[in-house]
Amino acid sequence: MMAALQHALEHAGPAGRRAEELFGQYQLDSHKRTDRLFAGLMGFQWIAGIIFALWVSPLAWYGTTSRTHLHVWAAVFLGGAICIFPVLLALFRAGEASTRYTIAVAQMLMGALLIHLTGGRIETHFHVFGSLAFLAFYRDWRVLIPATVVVALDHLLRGMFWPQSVYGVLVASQWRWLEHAAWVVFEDVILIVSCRRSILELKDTAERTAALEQEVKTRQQAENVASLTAAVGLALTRGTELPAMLQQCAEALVQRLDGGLARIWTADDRGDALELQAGAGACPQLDAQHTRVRIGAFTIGKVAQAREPVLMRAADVIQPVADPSWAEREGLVAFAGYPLLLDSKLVGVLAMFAPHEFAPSALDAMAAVADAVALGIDREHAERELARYTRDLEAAHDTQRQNGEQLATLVDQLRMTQRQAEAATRAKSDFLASMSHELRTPLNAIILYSELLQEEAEDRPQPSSVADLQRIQSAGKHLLELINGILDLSKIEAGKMTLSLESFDVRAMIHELVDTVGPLVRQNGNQLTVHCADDLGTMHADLMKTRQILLNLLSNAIKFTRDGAITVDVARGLAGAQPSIVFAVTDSGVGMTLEQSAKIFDPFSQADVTTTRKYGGTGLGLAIVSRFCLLMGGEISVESFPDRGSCFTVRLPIEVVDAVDEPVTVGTA
Amino acid sequence: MATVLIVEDNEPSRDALARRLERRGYTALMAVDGTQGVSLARSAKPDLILMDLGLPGIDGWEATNRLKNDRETRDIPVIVLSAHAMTNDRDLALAAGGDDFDTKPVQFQRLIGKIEALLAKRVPR
Repeated sequence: MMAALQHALEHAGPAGRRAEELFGQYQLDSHKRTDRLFAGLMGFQWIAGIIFALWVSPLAWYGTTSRTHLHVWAAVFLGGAICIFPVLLALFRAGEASTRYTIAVAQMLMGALLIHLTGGRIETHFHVFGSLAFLAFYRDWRVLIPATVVVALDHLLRGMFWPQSVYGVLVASQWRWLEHAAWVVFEDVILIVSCRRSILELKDTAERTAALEQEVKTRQQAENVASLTAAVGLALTRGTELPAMLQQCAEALVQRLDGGLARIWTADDRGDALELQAGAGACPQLDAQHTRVRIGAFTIGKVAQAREPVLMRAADVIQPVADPSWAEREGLVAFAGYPLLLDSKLVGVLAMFAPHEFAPSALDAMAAVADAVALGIDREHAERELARYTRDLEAAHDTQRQNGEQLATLVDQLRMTQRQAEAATRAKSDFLASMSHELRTPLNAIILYSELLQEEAEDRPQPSSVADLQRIQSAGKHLLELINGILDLSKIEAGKMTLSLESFDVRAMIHELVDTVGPLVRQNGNQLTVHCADDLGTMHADLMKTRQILLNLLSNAIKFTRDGAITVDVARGLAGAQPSIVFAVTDSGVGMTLEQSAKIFDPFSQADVTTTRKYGGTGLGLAIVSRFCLLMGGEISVESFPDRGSCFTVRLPIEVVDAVDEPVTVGTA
Repeated sequence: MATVLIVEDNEPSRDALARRLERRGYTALMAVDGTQGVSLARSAKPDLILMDLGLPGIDGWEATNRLKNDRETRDIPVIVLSAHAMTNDRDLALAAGGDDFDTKPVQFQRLIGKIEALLAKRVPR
């Protein structure tokens, strides 16, 4: 559509039209100038006629009386009558063809009068040739025709009826007028040629001027388009607020394209209406009716709906304006409307009214501006969106930071609590260590003395006191075991229990243990069976603690079983994915209920308080054993049934890693 | 029979240990603090020293250290006894130059075993 419009405009040839316009103007100027020339000439001729008349024949004599010669009156009145009408026309209707023809006729009549006043002197006939030459100033050969006709008729008629008036003789040849007329025609031919040539030159000048003007205009337009593009580009890239950006674009359009007015609308969020964002140029009073235009309504809405540029006469634009002739009154001629499209998505409409037809370059520029503005609007939308996302992100970030801070505070608090707990544990452990030291010193003396006395009593035959001393010694040793057990537990919990890792042969360790507990087994009439798998090999662990664990389990099994069977099973296994050694110590002893086995690894929680009395022990053994297992990365479990026996299973990694820096806090000490 | 110097500040412990050693035929010498222990070791030249760690004045570690840095006493075996029974006590005692370590309350049979083992290693003078 736009291409067709542009093509039509180019074909009309603005330069050609302008040349014609200029040519017409030049002609008019020439006609007016010549009209004025003749106005002056007429006045001059009138006065000259009177002077001639006064000089050649001032008085008419009738005998001795004389009066003013008729010629003088003729010069005054006839000359005035011939002059007055063309002079008035020249002054008030300069440039009109009728003025020209009237002047031509009058000029030739004036010539006839002058010839008559000079008594038909042949020299005065040169006035005719001069007049024709002057008439040629009009560069309109047609004025020569009435002039020639007047001269011919004048000569013909006066030659016939009053030859003296025209030829200065009383009798003239019948064909003399023809001779005169022929000379006039001869000059006419020359003058006509001259006029035509002059006209051609005038046309040529007009065409050159028009071409020059066109070139200047084109350059000016190109400059305007360039500066428009620059201004729009600047506004769209530098701007931050959309209305201000669009306002700058509208102003640039009006300024650079010499437009009457420019308006820019943007599509609203729902896409069913246009909202006026910016306007520049004439008629701001109309904006109130255009602040919101439904898509499809009026010319603007139709541009948006069709998504095609529209170029039309300003008068044909349909608008919500009461007075339809406003455009005419404002001198606005052309209208151009462009949809602002972004990948076929409508973001707005740009419209301009101009007091002239739009040049193709202006249309190109507007199309480019429409594209740029569409991009600008999109950019602004994108930036607004980005800003919103950024704000959301920042808000989220703030929340996160606050959460992080809260978390950090919480972690700090937890750490502090943990440190306090550790410090408390350490303090307790230190207290127990020093308590143990304080308790050991007197206990040392008690045990040493009781043993001493026992030895001394054994030397002398006083068996009663030996038994008592044995009880003292036994009580002392029990107390010592308690103290050691408590100390061990507190060391484990304070993280002071360290592992002393070494590699040892599992089977050899088991046999050594069996040898140690052998006498005890036999005391209670139990049978001890040991099953060691063939692939046991060596393990890397704390030998002392492993022994202590198994010794404890074995002595418990022996202690709680009478005339029964005790089995030790040792095999390779898995603790999770970790290769481990599994030790199972099974007895057919008293066993435990589920409740009892649940508490068996807590300190001071032998299955029954009566148990301690009946079977002895500190009540700390299994608590220590379970902690040793954990310390080495292993585990211990128990399965037991009352009166049927118990089975303790210990799993220890084949490769114990000493990574236990933190205190082992299990149960309560 | 061998002479054993008991360096121990707790009177009942000292007395009971001395009497039990004497019943086994040892000659028991007694010192109540570190300073006295070191001077007695120098003057009496015992065959073995039982050194308590927690002593008034110079403590058991210091006393052991001095004995082991003295040419006259360095060959006398020292068994360090401690009521603390912490593992690093043992390491410290051995680091100070003690030849063996045992905990209090003393398990007398075990202690006698350690004493006899050390005396057997001793180069006869």
